[in-house]
Amino acid sequence: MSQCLKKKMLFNPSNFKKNYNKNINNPELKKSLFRSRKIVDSRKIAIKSVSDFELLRNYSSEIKNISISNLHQLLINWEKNAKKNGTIVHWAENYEDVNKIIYKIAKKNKVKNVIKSKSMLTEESGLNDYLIKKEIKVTETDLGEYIIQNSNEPPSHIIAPAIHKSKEQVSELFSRIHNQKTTNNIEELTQQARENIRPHFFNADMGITGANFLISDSGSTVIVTNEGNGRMTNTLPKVHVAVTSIEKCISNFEELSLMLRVLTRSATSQNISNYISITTGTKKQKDLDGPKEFHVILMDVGRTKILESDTWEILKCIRCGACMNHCPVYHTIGGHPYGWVYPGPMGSILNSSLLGNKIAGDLPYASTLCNQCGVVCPVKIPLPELMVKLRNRKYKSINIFKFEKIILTFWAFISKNPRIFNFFISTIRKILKLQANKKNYISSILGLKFGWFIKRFLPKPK
Amino acid sequence: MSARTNILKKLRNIKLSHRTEDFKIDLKKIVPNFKNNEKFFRAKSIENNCLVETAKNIDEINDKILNFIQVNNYSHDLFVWPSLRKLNFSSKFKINSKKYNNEKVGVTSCFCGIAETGSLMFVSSESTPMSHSLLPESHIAIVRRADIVRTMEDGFKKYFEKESIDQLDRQICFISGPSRTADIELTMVIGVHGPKRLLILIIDDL
Repeated sequence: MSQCLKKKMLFNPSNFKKNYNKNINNPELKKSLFRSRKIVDSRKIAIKSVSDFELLRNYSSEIKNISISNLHQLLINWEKNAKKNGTIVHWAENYEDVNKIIYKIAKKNKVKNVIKSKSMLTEESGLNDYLIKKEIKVTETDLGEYIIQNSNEPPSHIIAPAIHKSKEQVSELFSRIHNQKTTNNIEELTQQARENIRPHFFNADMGITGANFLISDSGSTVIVTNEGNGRMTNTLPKVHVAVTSIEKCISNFEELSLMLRVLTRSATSQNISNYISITTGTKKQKDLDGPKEFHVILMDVGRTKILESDTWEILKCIRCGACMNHCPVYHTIGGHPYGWVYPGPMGSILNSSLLGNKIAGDLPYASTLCNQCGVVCPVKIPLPELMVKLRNRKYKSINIFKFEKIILTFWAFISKNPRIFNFFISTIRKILKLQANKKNYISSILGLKFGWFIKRFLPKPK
Repeated sequence: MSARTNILKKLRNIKLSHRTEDFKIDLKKIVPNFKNNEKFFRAKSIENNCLVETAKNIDEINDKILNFIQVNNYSHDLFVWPSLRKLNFSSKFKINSKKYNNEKVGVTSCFCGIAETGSLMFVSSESTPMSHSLLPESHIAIVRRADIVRTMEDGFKKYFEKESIDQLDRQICFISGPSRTADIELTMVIGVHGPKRLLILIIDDL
């Protein structure tokens, strides 16, 4: 798979169990994750600023259903319109191609300094490492991305990438890289970042952004940001590259207006984000600002494969992060154990759909199936349902002699035979009764503490 | 075969049909029911951490800008949109329109205001570039009262009355308040890469 995966074995979804166990016992992380629960409350308030949020969810879900069903036509149309306005369109089937295309553009334009506004797709392709190896300097400009780039870590949340860091940790990092005194004042830290990143905006010869939406009718790309770094990145450098994937395409501006209502409320609990930039083509002849070259890279990389499968609905995702903000598992383990670009419920599904069962097959089990994610998803993706489908897929694919498969096959067998089932359950009950202590709790089996019993008790069966 | 051909071929062969026949968006059921665009715009802009004031004529605009500069301890250098050069700005100001020269205050008008979210809509052109609303530490935006529309949809409608969808301007941008972040401990801080302050001046006409 990608180079980023090979390099960071620690952040590998196949180490899921080991990594989440480490995180559960990290008190500092626990504090940071606890803080993140306030998003749940702020979203509750934000969705009241429209008259009927449920109806809005229905509309946006329908818009995504329709556009995903018509991607072929929408993309052909989008490309035609984009080219009319001077956009150079590239298509890429794998990560190597994405990185190569960008490097080729950089080389042609003699690019030395690249600034980036947040793009999860370039995290997927491992672009930063690729460009740095080719001796091109890459600076992430989103405050969260800037923090984690300089700590040499991957993002742990798709909207707030450094959500796992405390202000003390950020302060220590900034004092080291900015050569300034430590401070625990968050405003001062933000100010430091502003002052230190600003020269990069003016020195950069290439800006890389993602795109939240593509608009088929006009050939435009849309980005939604709060910090203003996205606007800097698509206005100041002479070359702008937007990296996006094929499922982001919608039809027109009415659909965009509607999707924005649901996206910003779900993502950051705002009625609208501070900056929405709709970019169509290059700088016009007499314009004072804007890039001379505008490239858009349309990535497939597994998307068409997902479209053919029974988990296609994950492609409706608009990357708001509401599912992880509401996930009890995410709140307990944080984003890094998911081991790849996307954490939380949408990440469990997308990572394992894109990387396959062998690498990321454990992720769909990172859920209690409580459906909080399904209830808040702005485009009504049935996330728990998809996770169950992926668990099934994994079960079918594993070797018949694996312990997990033997247990599950055994369980399926007795569940189908009521007599055996009753006998089995009553035997278990008898054994458990014998294990109970004086307070009528079971804290170990045959004196052994394992699994469930390490942290919890069972009540004595009646 | 090229990546383009491959991807499009795969997409053409996938038969998904999730189309609902009578799907129609009824915006009235979504957008809150307000009557006065300006009043709602004002309230929402303030929620977005903007300063909002009104001015009747160019003299009042000059006064408001002077006052703003004084309060924030800025110099008299202004980075003003080329389209506004025709206005009678006070001679106290030193006005630059072309290449950004570290002015602290950018002055622009806008394409229209959006009442629903308290946003300003900007359209890039030769005389209305994007840098002026982005690079200075503070941004002053002048909006005509008559240009405040109800929703983003209305903003687009207004735009497409004059422009053809075939040839859009390079950038359409919605700005809703000064730049902000919550990337450290989810604590909201105003003023990151974009302007730290946004003053909106609502006027009758220019």
